[in-house]
Amino acid sequence: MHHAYLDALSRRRGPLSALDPRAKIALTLAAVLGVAAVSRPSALLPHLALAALAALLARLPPRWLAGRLALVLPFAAVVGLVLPFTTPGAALVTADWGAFRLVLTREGLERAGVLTARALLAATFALALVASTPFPRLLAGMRRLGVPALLVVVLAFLYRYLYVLVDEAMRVRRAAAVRGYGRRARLAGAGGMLGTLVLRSYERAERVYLAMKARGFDGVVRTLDPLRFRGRDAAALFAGLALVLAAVLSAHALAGGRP
Amino acid sequence: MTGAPPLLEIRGLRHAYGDGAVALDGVDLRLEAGEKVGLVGPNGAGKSTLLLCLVGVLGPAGAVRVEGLPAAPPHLDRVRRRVGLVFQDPDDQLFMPTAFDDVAFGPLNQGLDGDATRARVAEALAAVGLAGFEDRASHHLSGGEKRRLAVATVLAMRPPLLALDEPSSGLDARERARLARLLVGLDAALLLASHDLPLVRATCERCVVLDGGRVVADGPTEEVLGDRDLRLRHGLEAELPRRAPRPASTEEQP
Repeated sequence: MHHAYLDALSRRRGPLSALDPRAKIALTLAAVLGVAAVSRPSALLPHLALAALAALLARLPPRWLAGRLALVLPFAAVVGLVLPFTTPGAALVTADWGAFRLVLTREGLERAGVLTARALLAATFALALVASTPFPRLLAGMRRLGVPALLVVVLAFLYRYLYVLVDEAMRVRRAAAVRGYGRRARLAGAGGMLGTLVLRSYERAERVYLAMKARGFDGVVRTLDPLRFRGRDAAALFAGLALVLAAVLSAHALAGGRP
Repeated sequence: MTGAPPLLEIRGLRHAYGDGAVALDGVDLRLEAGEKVGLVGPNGAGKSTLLLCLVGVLGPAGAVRVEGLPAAPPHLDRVRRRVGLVFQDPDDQLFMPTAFDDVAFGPLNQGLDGDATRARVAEALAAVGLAGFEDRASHHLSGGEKRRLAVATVLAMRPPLLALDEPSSGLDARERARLARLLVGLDAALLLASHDLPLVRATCERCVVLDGGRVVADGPTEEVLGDRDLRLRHGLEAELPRRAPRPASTEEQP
C-alpha cells in the first residue's frame, strides 16, 4: 500500500545527504544542547538563524516542517500554559476569586515563550537530521557512536515492521469499511481491531524469529558497517561545530552576558 | 550401502502441533545432491511443517538428517548452513532495514568476513536479477522483487539444498516465469512446496505428493502429475462448476 511518504524525504539528494551520519548526529546533539541553554528571548535569535540554516541545507519542505512542528506544540503547551502563572514577577493580569488567585506575570510569559521556542528549534534540528539521512544509515551511525546494540536492533525492527503493521492496519480497516462498518460503530470496534492487529503481529514475530533462526541467528544481529568517515565529513563536522559555538557565544552576548 | 550419506534423509517424521493436530504422520523422503523435487498436496497436507522440520525448527530429533547430520542440537548450525529455507511470506524472510543487510545476514552468521560477505551479497543479488538494490529498503520493493530478494538471502549462504514454500503465490505471469528460470538454473538441490503444478513441472524432475501428513506418491514429475485420478484424489485438481450458458439473446429486446 502507499505509505512510502514515511521516509520519502531522506531518499532525496541534498547538500547533507552524503555526509557521514555520525557527523550529522554529533552536530544535531551539539545544536540541541546549544539551544537548551537559552533562557532569554533575545538569545534565541542566533539559534533561530542556525535552525533556519539547518532546515535550508536539509531541504526541509516548509509545509512538511510546519506540520511536524505542530506535533511538538501540544507537549510544549502543557508546560507553556502553567509557567505564566507560576513564575514570580511583575503581575500583568490578576484574577481574584477569593481563596483562589491567579497572577499572570511578564516573566512567566517570557519563560513560556522561550520554552516553546526551544522545543521548536530543537525539533527542527532533529527533523533536519532525519530528513537528510536514510534510516538504515542513521542506525549504522548510532551503532558506531556506541548506542547499545540492542536498542539499535529494536529500532531497526521497528522501522522494518512499522510498514508491515501500517499495511495490516490499513487492510483491517478497509475490510471493515467495505463490509459497511460505519463511523458510529468505529469507536466500539476499535478495540477488536487492535486485538486483531496485536495477534497478527505476535504471529508475525514468531515467523520472523523462525526465519532468523533458519539463517543461523544466534542472538547477535550482525551487519557490515557501510560508513566511511572521510575528510569532508570531518570538515563539515568542524564547520558545523564552529557555527553552533558562534551561535551560543553571540546568544550569550545578546542576552547581556546572562545565559 | 557405501559412500557419502544422501543430502537429505527423512525417516518416519511425525509432528503434532500443540493443539493436537497431527501435521506429519510418518514421512519418509530421500533427496540426492542436485535433485530438484516438487512437494505438492492440498492445503493442510503438512508441506510447510515439513520444510520447518528440515531446519530443526519443528519436529522430533533424529528423524531428519542432512548430509548424515541430524537436524537437532548440537548440529543445528551446520544443518542450517546446508538448507536454505525460503518462507512463504517475504515480509517474514526480509527483516533487516536494507536489502544488503538482509542478504548479508546469513553469511555473517556463518562467520564470513566483510570482503567475503560483500562478494556473496553481490553474487546472490546478481543471481536473482537485483544487482544494485543493496541500499533499497525491502518495504519499497514490489511483490516479485521481494520474493527474489528472499531467495537471494539464502543463495548467499550457498546451501546445497534450497527449500521454498509457495514461491510463486501472488506473482504475475512474468515474475513467475522469471522465478522458474532462476530455479532451473540453480546447481543446488531443490525442494519446492507449491500448489503451482505448472511451476513444479517446469522446474522439478521428481514430484512428491503429501496428503494428510503422509507421502502418498513419489516419482518422476510427469508420471505423478500425469495421473489424473491421483490428482483428483489428493486435491491437486478439482472439478470447477461449469458456467451456465447465457439465455440466447433475450437481453437486447426490451
